[in-house]
Amino acid sequence: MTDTTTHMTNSSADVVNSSSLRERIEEPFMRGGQIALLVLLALVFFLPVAGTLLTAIRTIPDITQNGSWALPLSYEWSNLSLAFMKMLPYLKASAIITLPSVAGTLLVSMMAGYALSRMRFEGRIWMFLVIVSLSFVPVHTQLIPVFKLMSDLGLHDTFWAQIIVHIMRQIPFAVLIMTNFFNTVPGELREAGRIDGASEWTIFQRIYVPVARPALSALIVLEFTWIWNDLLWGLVLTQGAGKKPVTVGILAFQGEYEIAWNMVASGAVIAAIPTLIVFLAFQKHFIRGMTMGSVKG
Amino acid sequence: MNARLTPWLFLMPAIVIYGIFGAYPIFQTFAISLTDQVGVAAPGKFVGLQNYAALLHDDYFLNSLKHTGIWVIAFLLVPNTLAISIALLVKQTFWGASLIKTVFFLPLALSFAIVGVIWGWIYEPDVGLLDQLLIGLGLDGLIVEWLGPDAANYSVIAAAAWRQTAFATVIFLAGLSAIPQELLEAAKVDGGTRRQIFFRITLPLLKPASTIAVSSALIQALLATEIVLTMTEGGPFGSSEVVGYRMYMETFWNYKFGYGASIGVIVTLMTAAFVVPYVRRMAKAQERDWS
Amino acid sequence: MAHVTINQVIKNYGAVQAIKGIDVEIEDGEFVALVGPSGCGKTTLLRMIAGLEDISGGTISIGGKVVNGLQPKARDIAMVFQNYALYPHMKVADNMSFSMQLAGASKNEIKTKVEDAARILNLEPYLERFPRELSGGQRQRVAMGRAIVRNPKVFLFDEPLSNLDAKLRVSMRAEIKSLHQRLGTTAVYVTHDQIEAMTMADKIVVMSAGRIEQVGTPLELYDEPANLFVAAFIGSPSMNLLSAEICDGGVRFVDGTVLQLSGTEVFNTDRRVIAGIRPDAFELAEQGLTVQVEVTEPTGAETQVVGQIGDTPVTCLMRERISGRYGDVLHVLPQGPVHLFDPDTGLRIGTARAVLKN
Ligand SMILES: Nc1ncnc2c1ncn2[C@@H]1O[C@H](COP(=O)(O)OP(=O)(O)OP(=O)(O)O)[C@@H](O)[C@H]1O
Ligand SMILES: [Mg+2]
Repeated sequence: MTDTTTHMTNSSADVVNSSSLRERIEEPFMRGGQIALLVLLALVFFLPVAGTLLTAIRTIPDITQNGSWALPLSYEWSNLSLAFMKMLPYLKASAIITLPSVAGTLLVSMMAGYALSRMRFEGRIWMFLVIVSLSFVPVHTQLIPVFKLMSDLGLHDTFWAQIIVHIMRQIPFAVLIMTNFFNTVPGELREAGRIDGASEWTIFQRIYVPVARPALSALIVLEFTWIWNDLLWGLVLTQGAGKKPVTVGILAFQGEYEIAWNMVASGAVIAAIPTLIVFLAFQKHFIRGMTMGSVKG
Repeated sequence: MNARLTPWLFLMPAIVIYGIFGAYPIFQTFAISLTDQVGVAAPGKFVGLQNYAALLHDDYFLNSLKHTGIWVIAFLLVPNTLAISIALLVKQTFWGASLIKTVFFLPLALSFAIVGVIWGWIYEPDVGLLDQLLIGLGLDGLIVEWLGPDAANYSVIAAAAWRQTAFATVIFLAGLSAIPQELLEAAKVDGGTRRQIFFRITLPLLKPASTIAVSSALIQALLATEIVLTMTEGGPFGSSEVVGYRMYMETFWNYKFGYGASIGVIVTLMTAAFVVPYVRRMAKAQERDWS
Repeated sequence: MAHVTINQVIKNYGAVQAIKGIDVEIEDGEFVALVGPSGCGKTTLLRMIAGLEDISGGTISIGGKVVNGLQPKARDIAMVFQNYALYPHMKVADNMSFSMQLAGASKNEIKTKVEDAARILNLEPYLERFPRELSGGQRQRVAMGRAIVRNPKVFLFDEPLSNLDAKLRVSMRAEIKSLHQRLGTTAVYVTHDQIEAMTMADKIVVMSAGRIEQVGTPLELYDEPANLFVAAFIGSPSMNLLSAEICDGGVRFVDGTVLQLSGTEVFNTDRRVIAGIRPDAFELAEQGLTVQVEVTEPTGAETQVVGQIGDTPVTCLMRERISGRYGDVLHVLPQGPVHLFDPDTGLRIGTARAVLKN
């Protein structure tokens, strides 16, 4: 009995030794290989963006003569400035739509999240689950009636229509995020506030909203990107050029320039710049927001 | 303030806005799908399930359904496998990690409209970035008409998969970071090989992340509309039409609101088939945590 | 300052009754500790006084005014939470003066009050810091500062020291006590640490399972426990409880040992009782109760002997230095009081004293 145990310990120790030895030899190769593979993957992954940037600053003759991947003969910054001038109305419209939508989403969802997380009331869990379910509702389920409703209300082809719809679409996800966040804030803060003589609204506004800053910044970055990037509502709820967001603008732009690919690429770059800047500047918040409630793409 | 009323006051803006502009339309879509409404002007007359019956014989619709099926399968497999590999590599190599991560995450900042425009150019015959790349690598033989009738659906999927991979990478990286390092070290001390540790420890612990990545892939694949709209408009000859796009076309192109609504209902039911079990599980967890 | 009257108070959580009809009278300026095992309803009762929980039945009045329907802010109370509940985004000064800001006090008034409180609590250097920049003890003091600034009629504390390390707890204990003596404000203090309760409180309320077991001064509870629960709960190590029966001139234990006691004459012989003897009441003797030693733990000043008398586990604190081992046998006799409890009701029926032999 004692023999067997000793024997077994020995052999398992051997295994550990030999495998660690093997790993020690393999390690540098494995590592080198992994790094090379990763860099290669990253390059491939980056090609579409790199190609677009490259195309945006070249001339068509240059592209047709030297191929799409050659270094530019000359830098045509005018492509970008022309694209910018053309896209400017759309960019403006996108800003007018997106900023109030984000603000509205935040306010409405913070209030709801606060109630769902911090208050005890009949139907609370039920309400929460409804909201979770709603965050999966496809646009397709609402597209037609919303279009109809906005026409009936005389809001078709207004910024209002898009703002309201974006807030509506973002409510479930944002409420989910805020509820989950407020769940992590100690409930005693609310009670301390009550004892200090604060009304429910004061507690919300002066204690919970400031405390929610980390969640808010994540949510702002996410919502900004999502709302800015929406295409379908922009198509459905607008008629004239003035109210169309930049995502619709890029399609119009594409239609106008057809095979002037340097211009189309420039348009894409211009249209993407706002969300790219936000993303690059607030990548951490963006990622945190996604992992906080990640149900969307 | 009445204590019973207060929570509902806080919930009211959300409920009112969603109720009028979100929930009510959901029911209306079902109602409209039972009519032959054309355009917004006049309500259609009640036709029962005729729209749904017609869908069963609508070749355009059945064709788009088939394409959506391909989307789902491809989306479940490709972006997730890629993402989990990328996440593992990034996690293990540390080298230049933040720059590399940014590269992989970048597509998330781009709208489907932009992704569609960029990839449209990538797939352009001869001068397009892909053909040029293949020519440069001496792989001319692989070139096909990317956005032609045979390949278009797959090409659109590839473009969308690029963006979905970014999403899944974020999720899997977060999942990997959430695994306590001691656990992996303990497994190593216990004599686990790399392979064993991955399959017996890492992968099972990635389950929450996988659930998210898989459900997102499913939903994105089922709903794919915007990218089809920007890249191919369903063409050529309907070869890249998907269900969501079909619904958009029937409604806002052909103005067959009743018919479009019935496709919308079908899209919704397909999503619900995946979502309901997910929410069920969540309900159980919530009841545990909140009671 | 005010007295607090708790009258027949009940709390129901759905079908569960957490507080089952409680009466307590808290005098003006008194420091009252609520003690009891976990889950007995201390926090619930405190939160009902604060107005954070509805009162399901009975009344609570503060300063002669029934407060059942009043919001916390209208009750003129202040509360110190177990985890302090400091507002993380406000500096110490703002944390302390939030209530005054809400009430619309003038800047000058706020400044004076905050500075006064900070001086009392030695918080002056930290007024411009955020809570995350403070140590546990400092946070605790800020929480108290927040309470002091309000100048309430009643202070409510819910285990305010339980998140501190042992040493800090002892010094904060003294600080709170002296603070109370300076301010003279009525205080209700929840703790499950009976030493804390004994050392700080004017009056202790012992609770168990939503009921009051006994109310009294620390020494009353120690010397005259009303029942077995209080006897076992108050005092550390806790009282030894041995089955016995009354016999002529004393009690007879299960092992047959007879103890001569004065004060047992009033009971019928053969009445079964439980004899409660504090660990420090025992002294070594030639003969007497036989203790089967399990371990002896010398602490320097005294020796703690853990063992069994018959089948009952006992603890004795001896002034002598004893080195016993497992299996050794000691003989002990109680020199202090022997409490007699009715085994059926658990109530104390009397206290006897050993008759000294020589
Ligand atoms: N919100 C609630 N819903 C249902 N039951 C509750 C609720 N809050 C407390 N209880 C129950 O009421 C009883 C008393 O709880 P309370 O928190 O007052 O105990 P406590 O004496 O403060 O205990 P501890 O020393 O552990 O803090 C417990 O049995 C508890 O489970
Ligand atoms: Mg408690």
